[in-house]
Amino acid sequence: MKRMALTLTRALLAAVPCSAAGAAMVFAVGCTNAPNDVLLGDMDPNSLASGDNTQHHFQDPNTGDNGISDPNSVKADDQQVGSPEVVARVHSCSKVAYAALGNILSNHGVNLSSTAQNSAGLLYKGGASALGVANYSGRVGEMILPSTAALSKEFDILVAAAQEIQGQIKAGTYAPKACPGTQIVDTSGNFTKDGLTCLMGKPATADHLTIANDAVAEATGKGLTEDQGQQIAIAAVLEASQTCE
Amino acid sequence: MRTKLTAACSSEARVRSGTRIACGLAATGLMVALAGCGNGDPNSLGGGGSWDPSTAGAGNGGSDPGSPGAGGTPNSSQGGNGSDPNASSNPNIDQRQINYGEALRTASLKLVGDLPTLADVNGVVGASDPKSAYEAKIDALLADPRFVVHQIQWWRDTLKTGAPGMSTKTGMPDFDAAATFAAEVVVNDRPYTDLFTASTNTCPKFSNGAFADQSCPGSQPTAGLLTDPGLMSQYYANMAFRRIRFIQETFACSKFPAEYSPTPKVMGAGAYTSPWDFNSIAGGTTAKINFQDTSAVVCANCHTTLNHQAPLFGHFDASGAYDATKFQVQVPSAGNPTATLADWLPSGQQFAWRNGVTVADLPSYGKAVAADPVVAQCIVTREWNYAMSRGDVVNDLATVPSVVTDPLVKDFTTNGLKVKRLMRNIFTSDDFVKF
Repeated sequence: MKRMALTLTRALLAAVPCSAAGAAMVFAVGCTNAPNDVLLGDMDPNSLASGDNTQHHFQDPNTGDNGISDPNSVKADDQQVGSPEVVARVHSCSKVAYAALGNILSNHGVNLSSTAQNSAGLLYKGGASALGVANYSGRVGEMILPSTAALSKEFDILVAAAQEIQGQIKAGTYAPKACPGTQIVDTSGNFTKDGLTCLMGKPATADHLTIANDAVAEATGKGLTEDQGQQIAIAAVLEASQTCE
Repeated sequence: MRTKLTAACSSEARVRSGTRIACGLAATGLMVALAGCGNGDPNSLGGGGSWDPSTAGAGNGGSDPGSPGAGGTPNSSQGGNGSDPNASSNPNIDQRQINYGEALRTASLKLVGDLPTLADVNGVVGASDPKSAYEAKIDALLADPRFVVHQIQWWRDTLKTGAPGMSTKTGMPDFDAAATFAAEVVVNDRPYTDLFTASTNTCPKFSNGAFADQSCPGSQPTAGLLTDPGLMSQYYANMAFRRIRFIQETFACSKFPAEYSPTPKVMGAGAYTSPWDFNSIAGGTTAKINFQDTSAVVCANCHTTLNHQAPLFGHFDASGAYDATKFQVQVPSAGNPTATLADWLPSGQQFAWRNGVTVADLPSYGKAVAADPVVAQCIVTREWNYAMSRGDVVNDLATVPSVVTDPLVKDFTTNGLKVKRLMRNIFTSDDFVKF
């Protein structure tokens, strides 16, 4: 965990000169949104059926086409973990649901109504598609498995949110709804265990504290301000706990 | 582009071999009106990698008569017969540790869509008996008003239907009623089979934190949510096949073909694997659609099952309105004529959920669905996958071996088919609390 978080921290350090939206942006595969329930009209000349039987069974599940998992990829992935029983018994990487991400952000005081460029609120509202919200008119529920686009967008949002949260801490206005009275940073500028627990939604460990405080030290050692160091630390903690990175 | 997460990942990065690229707005899931006909089904509900015809369905095609014996309790990760002998020596299993703090975070996000409070986290990890404290928190989450809202959303995503926040267009049914009804069944601890058998109040409204019972408009016979006008409208397509495919994949957790004969026959370009009489569906040169065609694929492998169900749902039109006197779906042949019974079945054929499970009407169809053991196993699989952050059992091939689900299925079916109890069993299981 420490190694991963440090890697994240370094990635965030590298991204500091960039805008939040520029951090580690990865483009998802292109997808069409063509209607799929229109079967009347011209028959597909490539129909599998023959003669006058012209019904073409397109886009069957498990073909790997158009967002549906490729069975060969699934098999290859699963074999890295173990037998089907082992695969079934271990937790997989979860995509935080769109609404849940909004709850997490707002509970930490992030302004979801913000229209400021690159603000967490604007990225959140504008990133619904990348975050895999449902498209019920196309018979698609909210994405279960996190896509690269979803993780990248979440990364950007959490980086931007970290700036807002740190700004509130500095201003003395930080008031997380789920953790009333909790201070993320103490009067000495060190992160607190309860503060990190509140950010992550799970118990913070000594390692978490070390990583967060080391991130500040590393940032200031490279010429950044303590505020920027705290932003990086908060972003790293949020990112590590809320995504699978 | 794929992000690999290896077995060495920490608790933050849940063990899973890959993060699959998925297109949020792409046409994923149950979106084709007709099921594809293929030979053999690697996606049998029992999972495990190899195709076992005996696990493919109920009726003569067979549900799982040879299901491994149940082992352990719902709260045990110990498998019974059929358990992978290597599972206990896999580091991904062996190196897991109980982590109630991590489990509470995951459960809270899954059940109410928010992180636990600091007091809740400290209350569990600081308790003298963390297990009991954790289980009490799970009970509290299941009783939380936010759970109700979250359930409606879960069912929208499972049914892939809904129109949250949108007003119903004139002349169109409520697109959210089916998800709302399903959530009500779960929240109010009604038997899961009410989803298929309830005869009244299947179109409830939810507002101000409470359900208000209401029957669906229209003249259709009622079979739980299966006859929901909104559902029928959203899955409208030629010959009602899309509605049948939706029911199969959503509630039986496998794609078509749904039934397999123990004695497949070489036929045309492939093998005929269905247990039905090959001539039990429409076909031949005079049929609008030749479902007995074998020149490219054996259509009857799927359509023997499909065609014995679809006419029941062919009376709903594109708006979900029911007319018992006529069919209201079309045939995708020249001129797009309105379907007649002969387009699906030859004379003398009866409607059926599966070969040997005949039904007379929609309510008896719902009862047949409810009685199929595969349907109970399916909801257990779906709830398991949801809790463990796995993909969709059909679209993502996230099957769960029966050795994992059998104890849960047994508890579910012998204790009133209560989904909340099932969820509690899963969220307090050894596998869920270990990371």
